[in-house]
Amino acid sequence: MDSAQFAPWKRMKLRRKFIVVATMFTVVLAGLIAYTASAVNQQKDKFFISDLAGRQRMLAQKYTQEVLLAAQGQATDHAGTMAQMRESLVVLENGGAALVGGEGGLRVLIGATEDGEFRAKLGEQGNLLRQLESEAGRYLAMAANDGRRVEKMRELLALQGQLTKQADLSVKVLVREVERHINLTVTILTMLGIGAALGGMGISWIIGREIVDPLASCAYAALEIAKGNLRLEPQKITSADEIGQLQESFNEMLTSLREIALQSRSVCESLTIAASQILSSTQSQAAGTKQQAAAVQEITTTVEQINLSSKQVAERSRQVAGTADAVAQSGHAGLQAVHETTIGMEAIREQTENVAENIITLSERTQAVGEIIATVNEIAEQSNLVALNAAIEAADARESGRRFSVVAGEIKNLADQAKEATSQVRGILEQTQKGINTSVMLTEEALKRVEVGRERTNLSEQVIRQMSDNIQESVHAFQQIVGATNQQQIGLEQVTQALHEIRQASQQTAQTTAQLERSSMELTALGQQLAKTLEKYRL
Amino acid sequence: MSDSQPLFSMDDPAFVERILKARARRLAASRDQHAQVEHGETMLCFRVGGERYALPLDSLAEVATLGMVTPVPGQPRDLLGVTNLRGEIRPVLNLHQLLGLAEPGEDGRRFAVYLRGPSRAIGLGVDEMRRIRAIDPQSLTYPAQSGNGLPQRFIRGIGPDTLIVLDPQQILALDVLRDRRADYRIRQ
Repeated sequence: MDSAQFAPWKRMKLRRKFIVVATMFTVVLAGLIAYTASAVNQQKDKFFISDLAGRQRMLAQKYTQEVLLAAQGQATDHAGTMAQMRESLVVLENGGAALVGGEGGLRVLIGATEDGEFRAKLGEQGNLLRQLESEAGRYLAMAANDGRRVEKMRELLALQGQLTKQADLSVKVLVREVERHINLTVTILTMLGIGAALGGMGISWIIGREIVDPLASCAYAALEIAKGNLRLEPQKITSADEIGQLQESFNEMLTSLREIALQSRSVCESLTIAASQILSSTQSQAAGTKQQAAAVQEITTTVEQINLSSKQVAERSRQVAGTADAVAQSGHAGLQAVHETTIGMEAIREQTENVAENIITLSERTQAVGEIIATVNEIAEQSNLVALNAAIEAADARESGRRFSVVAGEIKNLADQAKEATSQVRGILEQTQKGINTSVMLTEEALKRVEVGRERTNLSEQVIRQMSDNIQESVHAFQQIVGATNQQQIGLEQVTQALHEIRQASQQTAQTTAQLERSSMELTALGQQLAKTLEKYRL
Repeated sequence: MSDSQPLFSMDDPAFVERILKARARRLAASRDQHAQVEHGETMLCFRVGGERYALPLDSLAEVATLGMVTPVPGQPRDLLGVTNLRGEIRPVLNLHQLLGLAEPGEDGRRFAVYLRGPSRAIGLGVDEMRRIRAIDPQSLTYPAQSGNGLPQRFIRGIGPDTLIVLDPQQILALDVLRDRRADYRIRQ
């Protein structure tokens, strides 16, 4: 809080303010007390004065009595009394130390009177006193049997009465003056009291306004906050004192409460969402746990099946290892056989070449036969022509050539048959030639195939050798498989054991998940409750 | 040379047996059967350009293979040329040209049928000799009567199974033979 923007009074701390106010009140009270004391002190002087003035009456009576007594011849100190009266009068008029309260009284200092009327009365009293003394002197001076003495005594008594009256008047004046003074004092005190009361009320009102109003405002705000209304205007900071701090703290409290409420609301929403998510995930987890239990059951069954089949696998692997061993031996035999096959192939190739040569020879011979056949054909045709010519000659000879024409016909028939036979032979030869050609091609093909076969055989040899090696490796591998399968069986038994434990655990998980589901339902309800509670806060 | 025959095999015993039996039947046949068959006019059958033709044996001098034929300059295409047969120069007619048939290829063997001419033999180039048949003149049909559109000058008639019988007189009556022929040489 920046305290510089306030007036010095506003900057002051509350304690100091109270001290200042209390000091002010104390000062005012002290003034009042002092004034009252001085007034009462003045009244004490007046009291002494009035006492002294009253004493004058008593002294006047005493003087008269002493004078009378002295006149009777008795010794009295009327002169001392007169002196005492004069002294008192002087003291009354001009001030000084006076004896108060008779002979055993105390002496007090009395200030000179300033009252004109009183002074006038005192002057008259002095005159009367002097007359009384002079009369008393004359009275005493008269003889005891003087007739005038009674007269004189009466005058004296009258004078004494006058003096007493005068003294009474002065006392009355004094009393009146005292009364006036007291009234004045009372009036002043009353005025002062009223002023002090008004000032106190004003200060109290100011202080109240400065202290109580912010406090009331804070109290109202606190009540509103308690009702949940956080949409309050922030408190206006009116001073730098504790009230101001309170207002500032209140504003900070309001801000932080608002933030807290906002955060609480968002947190509550998040909490509700999270709770519902937890609930849904818990439900899905419950479903998943059931599925898991079922799956574990299935897995257990499957593992048992696997166990069975792995036993079978082990058995089969042993068998296969044995078989592979046999196959490896067979592979060796196969290698031998392939070797023999290669040799056989070579023999086949040589024989095929021989066959090819033979076929070529045969082809040449067949061509020779064809040439011979052509010659025969030629002869047949010539014979045919001869026969035809014979027939023509026979026809030319008419009847004599008739038998000859029959012979010519026979010759013609023979020539025809020979021609037909040569034609058939030619066809057969052509067939043979075709067959030979086919054979030549086949032989060449066979040679090629033999070559390919030899390459294939070499390849087969390599393959079989590789296969034999592979089979040897396979035998090792199968032996390893047998070992591994045994280990696998042990592992599978452990797996079965573990699966049983997993099943138990999943059952426990199912129970826990049910509890979790209930708890998350409660959590959701709590979140909704919290949301309702937070809705109370109007932001 | 025979036509392209269906494939056969000498290994087939049925085929061999069939051939042998046919030969045996032919050899076993009597000569009287031939005499009985051959009544009517005996004719030589031959083939020209895929068609079968025939000529009576009476009109023929001889048959021979046709050797080298030398074309004669300045003569129409009906005359194929002249050939030397046993030292005798003989003209050979082009039957393809005469009968309006397509000319045969150069390859292949050819034969010549020599007609008995008034002074000497006239050759006819043919593709193949067939056989001698006896044909009844009654069975012939005549192109003049049927009018089938063939070049009818040299055709005497058409026998059964479309054998065409040629007329040797018409062939011998050709102008190409008649012109400046052997009369001139005989007179010398």
